[in-house]
Amino acid sequence: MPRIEARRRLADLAGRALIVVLAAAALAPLFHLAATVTVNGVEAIVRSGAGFFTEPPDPTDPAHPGGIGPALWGTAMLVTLSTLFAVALAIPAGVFIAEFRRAGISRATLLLTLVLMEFPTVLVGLTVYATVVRAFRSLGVNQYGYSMLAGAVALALVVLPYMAVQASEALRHVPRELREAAFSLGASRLKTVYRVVLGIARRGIVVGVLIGVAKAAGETAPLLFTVGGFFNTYPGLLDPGGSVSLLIYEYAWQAQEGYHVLAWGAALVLMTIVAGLMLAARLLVREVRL
Amino acid sequence: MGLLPRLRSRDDRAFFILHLPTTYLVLLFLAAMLGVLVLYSYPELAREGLRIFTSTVWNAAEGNPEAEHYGLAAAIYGSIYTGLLALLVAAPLSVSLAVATVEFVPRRLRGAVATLSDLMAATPTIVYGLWGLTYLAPAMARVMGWLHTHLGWLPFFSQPPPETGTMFATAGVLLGIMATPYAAAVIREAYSMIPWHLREAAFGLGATRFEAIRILLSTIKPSIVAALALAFARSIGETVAVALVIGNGMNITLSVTSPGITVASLIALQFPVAGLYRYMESALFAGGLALFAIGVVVNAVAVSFMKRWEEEIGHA
Amino acid sequence: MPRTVLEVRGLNIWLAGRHVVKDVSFSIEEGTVFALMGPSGSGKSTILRAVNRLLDLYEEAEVKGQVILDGVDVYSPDVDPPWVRRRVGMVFQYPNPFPHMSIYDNVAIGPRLNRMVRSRKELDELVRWALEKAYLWDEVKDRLHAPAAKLSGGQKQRLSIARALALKPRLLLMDEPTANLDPVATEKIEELIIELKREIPILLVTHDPQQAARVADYTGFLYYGELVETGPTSKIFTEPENPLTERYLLRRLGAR
Repeated sequence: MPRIEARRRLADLAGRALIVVLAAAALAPLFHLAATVTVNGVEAIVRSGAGFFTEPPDPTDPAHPGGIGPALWGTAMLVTLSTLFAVALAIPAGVFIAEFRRAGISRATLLLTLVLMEFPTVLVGLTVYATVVRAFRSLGVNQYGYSMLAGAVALALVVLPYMAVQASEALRHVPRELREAAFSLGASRLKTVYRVVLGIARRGIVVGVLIGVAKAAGETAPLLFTVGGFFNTYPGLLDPGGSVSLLIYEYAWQAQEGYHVLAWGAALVLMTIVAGLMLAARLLVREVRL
Repeated sequence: MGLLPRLRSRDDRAFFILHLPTTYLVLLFLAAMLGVLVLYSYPELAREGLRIFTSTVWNAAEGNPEAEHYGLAAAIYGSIYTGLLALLVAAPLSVSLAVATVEFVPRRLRGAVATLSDLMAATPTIVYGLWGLTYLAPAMARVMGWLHTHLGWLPFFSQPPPETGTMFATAGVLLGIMATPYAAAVIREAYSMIPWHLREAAFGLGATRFEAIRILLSTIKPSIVAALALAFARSIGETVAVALVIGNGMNITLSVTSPGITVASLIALQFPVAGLYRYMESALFAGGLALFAIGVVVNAVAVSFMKRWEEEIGHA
Repeated sequence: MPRTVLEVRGLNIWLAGRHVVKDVSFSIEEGTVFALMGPSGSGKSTILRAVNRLLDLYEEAEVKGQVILDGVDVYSPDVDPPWVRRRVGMVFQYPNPFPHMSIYDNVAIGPRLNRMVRSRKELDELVRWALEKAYLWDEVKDRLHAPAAKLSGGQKQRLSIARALALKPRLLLMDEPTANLDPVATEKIEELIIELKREIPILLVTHDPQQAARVADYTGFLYYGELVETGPTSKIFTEPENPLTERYLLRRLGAR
């Protein structure tokens, strides 16, 4: 009897140890990643000083590699535009899904939207390339047709499904009594939903927007064939340009040190932006759905 | 519950009609993607037919359109193979992380651990790619080198790994690391919602902590399946991180130490040069078409598992 | 000659196929409080929500019969629910002012949405009037723009009443308004009801027959969907005609 007991105890100890070790292994990459991004990134920023955030890159000189100014501007422009576009469409979509929740047409919409949420983003990039970029090329907007506008459209399409689902969830969680109180005021359904119920749900919606912004800032694949990948000049809406994420991708391929220095610095900047947005979202809500 | 909602007044009807375009939006989006892919892959499909999906030859002949032959089989294989490798990595890691967060982490720290996990999930994939290329790949090269030397008779390690470490294994491990926080979040939520009386029942049987955990895990099996399906769906679509670490080799092989390719990374890697050839762009769109089909199936399966799981806990 | 404000005729309601309200008819006159009492699950709250067509929000609800407000059947096809709800105020079981708005905004939102006033001054006056009628003005007049969430339970419920009153409704519906309040707050609201009924008739659903006895002019006893007995409150309580009514009253009033 004591022997079986000991064996089970050993198995229990080993099992629990295994779980803890694997859990640590699951989190370890983040720590290593955060550490290396910080160390390498700080190194890059130190080399260029404050100019890292404003100057164009100069990868040929590793000691003074310049900065990611235009790329940072690109990310800001792309994220702002795509968020505006996505929110404008996602809120009505979320309202539709939430208000007619039981109807087949609404459930089908929700299902399709969920499928789109994790869809390969490179396909969105291809679609926007085949439409917007090609159109701009033939219209002569610029030589290759790449533009920040195309990139913003692609990012908006990537982020839209997520925001729509978040909005519908936020609305769904409005307590029944508050919803009834809102409707008992006697305004039309349109006014009641948009001017009262959305207000009650606004915390969840803001969180959805914050995370959508974080996603848009971090995406690379949708931009591969849409903005062109130019990091040296500050782009306008119809110009080709780049983003911080795209810069990391393009520069990671290069062999020279200067490129890598800039890539790590850009990675640090990107991580900081994303982490900041996530933390802000966390402060608003306890459980965040990604 | 019918297809259309009950609209009992003019006010309701107006509201519904005003919002109907949003459904069209979603359908339009999917249709546009599909339409574009079909349209642009047509030239190559017309030329080579369905062979393009089964051939492994990727012959880009500059200036000689007749000699251009493209085959996507290796890429399709690679997408699925790396997805499976990612599952192999993500399954134990995500389950353990989820269980550990609920069972072993002190209550006060639980939120911090969850936040950490969420931060991992939100980290841009390109940053994972950069990190993977710089640190994971060389480490994998060493590990796989050892495995090749000592276990090279196994088909999985039959090839010597490249020095840079860019191979199937690295891509699979990286994808697994990236997918873990998502899967862990789903499983964690499911695990923490197991009713108290089930926990008491498990311990009441005289089970040790570990044995009880295994029993409890078996009660939420559908959520684990759903979480892993989600992980697989994400991995199939990942582009830039994979492109950086997979090595860009057209190989259909079980050997994880060989460089490989996936459809998404193929498109990313070849598109910049596609303009030099007559049919390559079209071939890449055909790849996109294949990825679209895989994406729809895999995502639909993942979503249906999630829905089924959500309905199940709705009745708990 | 007392005017009938609300007349309910042959009201039948099904919820997910279950017949929960069976052929209910009653009427409410100006200047009165009509209390609806009965065991829980009888359909009292459902009837209330049928009056202002709030039941429309629930797909599984099926309503047949007539609800005539000032001569208009609110269920006729050319009536929009907002039209009804504008004219009928509602107060709920859980004090539920909108948490993200200030006290002022909670009262003002109804008039604002319905474009009832033309200037800020008019709105201020309306808000003040509503808060005074709800016995809340003195307590909040110095912090009108503080968040409504910071009020006590009793204050929140009075704010909800003010919110409903701001619409200047023809009828006020109250769904167990004191169910979640302490005795002091309850008393205040009952005083309010007695004072308010002179201007606005009230349909009050209550779980507490004693409350009906205290504030209502007329009472109806709803027993699992059927309106078993209605009449002047005093008569119901002293000489109930129906044995069901008697048994209910004995059980509720006898058990202390």
